[in-house]
Amino acid sequence: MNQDYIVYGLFAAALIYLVILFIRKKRKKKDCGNDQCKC
Amino acid sequence: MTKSDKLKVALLGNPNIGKTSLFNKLCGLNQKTGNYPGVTVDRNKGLIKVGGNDVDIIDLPGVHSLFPNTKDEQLVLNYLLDDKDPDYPDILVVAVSALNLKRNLYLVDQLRDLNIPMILAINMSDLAEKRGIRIDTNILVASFGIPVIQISAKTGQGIEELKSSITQMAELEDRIPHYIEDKNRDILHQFAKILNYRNEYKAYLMLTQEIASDEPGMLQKDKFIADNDIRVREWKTNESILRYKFIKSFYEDAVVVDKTEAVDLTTRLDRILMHKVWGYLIFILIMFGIFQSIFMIASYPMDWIDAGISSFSGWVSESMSPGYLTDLIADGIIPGIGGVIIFVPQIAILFLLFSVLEESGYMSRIVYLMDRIMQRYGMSGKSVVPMISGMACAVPAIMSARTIENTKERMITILVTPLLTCSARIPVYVIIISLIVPDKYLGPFNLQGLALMGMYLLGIVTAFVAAWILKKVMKSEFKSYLLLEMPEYLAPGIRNVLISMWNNVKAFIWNAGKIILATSIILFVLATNGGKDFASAEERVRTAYADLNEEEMELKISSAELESSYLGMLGKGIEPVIAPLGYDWKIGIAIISSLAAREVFVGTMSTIYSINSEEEMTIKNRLKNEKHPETGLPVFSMATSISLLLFYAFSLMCFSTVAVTYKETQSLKWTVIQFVYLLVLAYITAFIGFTIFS
Repeated sequence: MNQDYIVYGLFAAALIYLVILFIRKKRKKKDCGNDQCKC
Repeated sequence: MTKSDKLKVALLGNPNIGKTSLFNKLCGLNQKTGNYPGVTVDRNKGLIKVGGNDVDIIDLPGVHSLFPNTKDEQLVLNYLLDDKDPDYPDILVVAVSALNLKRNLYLVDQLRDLNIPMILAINMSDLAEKRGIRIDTNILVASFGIPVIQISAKTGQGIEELKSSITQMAELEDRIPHYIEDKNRDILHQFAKILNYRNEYKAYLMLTQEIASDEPGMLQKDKFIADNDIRVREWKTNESILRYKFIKSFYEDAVVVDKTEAVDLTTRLDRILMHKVWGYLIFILIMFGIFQSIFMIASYPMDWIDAGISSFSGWVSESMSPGYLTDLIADGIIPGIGGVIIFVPQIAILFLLFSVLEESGYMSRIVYLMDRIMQRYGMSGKSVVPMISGMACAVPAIMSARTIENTKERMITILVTPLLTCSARIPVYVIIISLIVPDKYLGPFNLQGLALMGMYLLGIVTAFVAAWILKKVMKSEFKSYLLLEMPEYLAPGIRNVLISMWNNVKAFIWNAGKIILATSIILFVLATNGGKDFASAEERVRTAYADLNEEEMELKISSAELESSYLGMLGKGIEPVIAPLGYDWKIGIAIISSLAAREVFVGTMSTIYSINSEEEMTIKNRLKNEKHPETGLPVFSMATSISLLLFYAFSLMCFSTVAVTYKETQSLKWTVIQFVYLLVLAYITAFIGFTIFS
């Protein structure tokens, strides 16, 4: 039973990680909206 | 003009052309150097006496142009624009390298428009002579309207002549600006009036560059740009093109290179490597060698890693206490991550060989060699760098297209670069090729290596066809010119090569690894959970197939469970769309998950088939043994495999590339066009491939 909780915990963490990764990529794009951007 | 009795002479030039040696030679033993600390850099000053006059020589950091990209360059630009600076120059001495004159003349042309009296000092004249380079200074004098002196900071040749010229300098004559399009000249004239500047190029720099200034007129800059709808980036690009056009108009008469007179090693090597026949042949042979070695050398460590991963997975499931977590690690995470680690040897070899090419100086030759061909397809010789780097990864490749001045050529390069085979495709190609091409030799050539090279060639040919079509579709007003610095040939530094390889491999494992770890966990959980059908799968199978033996029964049950799991439902959902390409729902899941990064495909396949299988097998064998539940035929038939190869050769399955295209083009339109045209191309060719071979 304990193993099940760990797996579901990891599943939630993986989902959150991918969502954060996606948001971060979007924000990076937004910051680079001008000519001078060197990021 | 002078703010003290001393004559102020600023020494300027591109980086690494022997400017500091010239400074030391000019100042000699009498030099008094003083440092003026800047943020990152110092201006060095030396005092000399010429014909009884005191002359301050101000040594500035090397700059490529007056478009600052670094703090050094910003400092130099600010200095040249601020005539209130106590060190503001009366005279500029612009040092250029005789070995790279064409490129250096760009800065000379920009500085000339500032109308500060200037002398052009052509350094390394002695070396140029050894290479058979002859420079007609009269043509340069006539073109720029300034004195030109050939010097050698190393031997001291021409230094005295340079010194005496400094004291005989006269005001420069205004010249008609050729750095701006005629239609924009009135606008610039108006801005110069606002700033109260006589020199219009100075006003141009104030308008186009980010310069902190307390000029009252500068308060109106933003409004002026908006009111006149000025596209600053376009103005700067056009300036580059127009200046190179001007340089090209006289350069070939001014500089004659007679290679038969040259005696140095670089020239002798170039005679073969840049030859109009041998040059291309050697280039093709080198590329061929690279792809052969990727397969041949890497196959041994790859086999070890593959075997190691499957036995590690077996060991984990035996030694850990049985449960859901153990299953996740043994059947989800290890095969998923292993699916990527196995390709490290191939990627390491690819990066190692590419960095040898770069370090040796051969890469620049490839750019030069390919320029003529690239021009025909609407690209520049400089597009070769993004295209070759695109064989490693499209993301840095698209970024490196920034060096292409012409907007159209740059856009075409960005749009076609993802067609080149990046390293993320290698795992997909290798696994599928190994399923359909026998591991045999045709003479000295490995058949699988040849097939991989075929995939690379397919990418290259398609990229050129796409570029040719784009050339016809897109409009451009300008012709472009290639100006390139040819480095000396050097034996590649082992340390640099290894560091570059390590950094690239690390980035590959880390970037892909993070996403693959997360997707493996998600996929495993989705594959082992489901709705009502999932819970009743075992019961249904046992009732329907009561006569099967226990082993067959187990396989049937796990297959039914996977099919009714959440993952199965997702795959089934897209099956109608991908069925014409010969893919089942399992491949569909792998394609969806590989949208994040292509190499995830292999990790996903590996995870899905491990969940389904009882034995610990290598990834390749798992795919090979996979059978259609109804027909009993292999899932990875020749037709399906070719269809998959074609799909991955063309589709843009990579979020990072999409993001970088948007960042670099600043255009949602072109980003969407790129994604859609590649997806449509992939779908159609995969469909045709499947239809022909099935």
